[in-house]
Amino acid sequence: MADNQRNNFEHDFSERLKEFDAQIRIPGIPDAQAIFDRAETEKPKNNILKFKYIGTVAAAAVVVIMLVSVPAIRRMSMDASPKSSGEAAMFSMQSNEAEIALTEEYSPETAEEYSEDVTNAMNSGSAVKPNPPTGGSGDMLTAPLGINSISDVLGNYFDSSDSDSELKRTESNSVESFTEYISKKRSVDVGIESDSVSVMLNDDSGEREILSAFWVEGVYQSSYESEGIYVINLVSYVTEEDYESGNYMPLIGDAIKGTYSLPEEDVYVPDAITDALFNISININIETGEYEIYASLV
Amino acid sequence: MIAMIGGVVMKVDSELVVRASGGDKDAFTDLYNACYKDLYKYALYILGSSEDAADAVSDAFLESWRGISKLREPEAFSSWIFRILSLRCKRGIRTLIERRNTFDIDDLIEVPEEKSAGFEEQIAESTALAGALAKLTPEERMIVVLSVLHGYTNKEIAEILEKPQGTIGSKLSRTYAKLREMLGGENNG
Repeated sequence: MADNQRNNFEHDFSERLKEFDAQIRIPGIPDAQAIFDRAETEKPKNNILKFKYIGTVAAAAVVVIMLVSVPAIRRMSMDASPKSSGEAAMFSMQSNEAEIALTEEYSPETAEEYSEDVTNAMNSGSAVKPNPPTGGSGDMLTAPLGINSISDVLGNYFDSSDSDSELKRTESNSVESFTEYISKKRSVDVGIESDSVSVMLNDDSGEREILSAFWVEGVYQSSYESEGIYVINLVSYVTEEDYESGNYMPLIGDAIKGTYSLPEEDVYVPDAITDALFNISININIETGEYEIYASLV
Repeated sequence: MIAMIGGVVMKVDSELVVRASGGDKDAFTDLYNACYKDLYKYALYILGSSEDAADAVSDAFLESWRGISKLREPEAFSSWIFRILSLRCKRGIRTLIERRNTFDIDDLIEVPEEKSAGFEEQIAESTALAGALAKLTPEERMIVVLSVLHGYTNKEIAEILEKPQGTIGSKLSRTYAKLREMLGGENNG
């Protein structure tokens, strides 16, 4: 029964997609001569492009959580770095290296020699969840499970306060989009919209290629580079209307996973909040393109 | 001689491929004209922008003109150029991200005459389908378009996208499940 329904849907979808496809407007076909002209005037791009994606930025996550949540620890964390942090061992590591050879001989049998797999690269460049911090009385980064969920804390806040988040929501930073050249090998493009930020880390060592690319909902606040990590800070205010609709978690988007909400487990939740806003920090490993996105409810 | 390897829509005369690989611009132009529309639509599904799609197709043809002399099997031309285009589309990720993953293919279809019968239903149908496609990831769109519209097998899609065949099969199943959830409705239950 289920198989029949599935098959029926696939057949029906196929027909619908073909009908849709037939409606697509196709502009006039450009003259092929333009291709030959380009071939003569444009230099071929690099034949071999390397993408290296190694692991996850373990300590960066810890640093971010510290920076956005506990001022006392923030001061201590100024000396912390991804290389020195002992927490690095807590996080899984993975690596992937892909190569592209654009004009090598091609046949289906030698497919793997022909081209790169950017998708794999992008997959490995997307956020990788760390192991959750261990609990315990001394652990300031976690709260007793079930007591202060994001929903509960926001609910208490809106029940008990005259929230001015609606007004704060319109605040925006005047910084415009920018490109920062971090080194001769890396640059980062930060596209700033009123309600979101797009980020692309580029490998400039050969043909300019993207190591990581994504966008995050929130208002841009600041960014800086430290110890091989590029950090971007955002804020995202929650209105009572957002809360009541259930759509209060900041959104993230990339080309592999599409658009999705910031996972609740990546948000530090205190017992009580004063502003109903998420302080969001994006940490990008400049060398690998790996990134982590964490937030703290304030 | 018609090369039928992979796909059932984009038929390519492999004799043209042989001539083009020998540097015959007229033959390559014929290939270009024969394949352009299918490749453009494929890129459009992935990138969701007519301008980006046209750029990606142009880049793919440029790359194929430069590399066609090294194509050992003329019959593999279709899957070869889909592969080049897929790669180009993946590089188009920049513009996709800058547009916050927006997918405006609903602006790109031919809008039927308002007076025609079933006008509203057709618009609703197209909008629903475009909306569902927009919620897929670019890779899911690649897989479903290559499978449904171009008739490639999972094995062939795996070669084009450089993924294990099993991965393509499972992703296609999951994509159908997502689509069914989005489009299921009363007509597909």
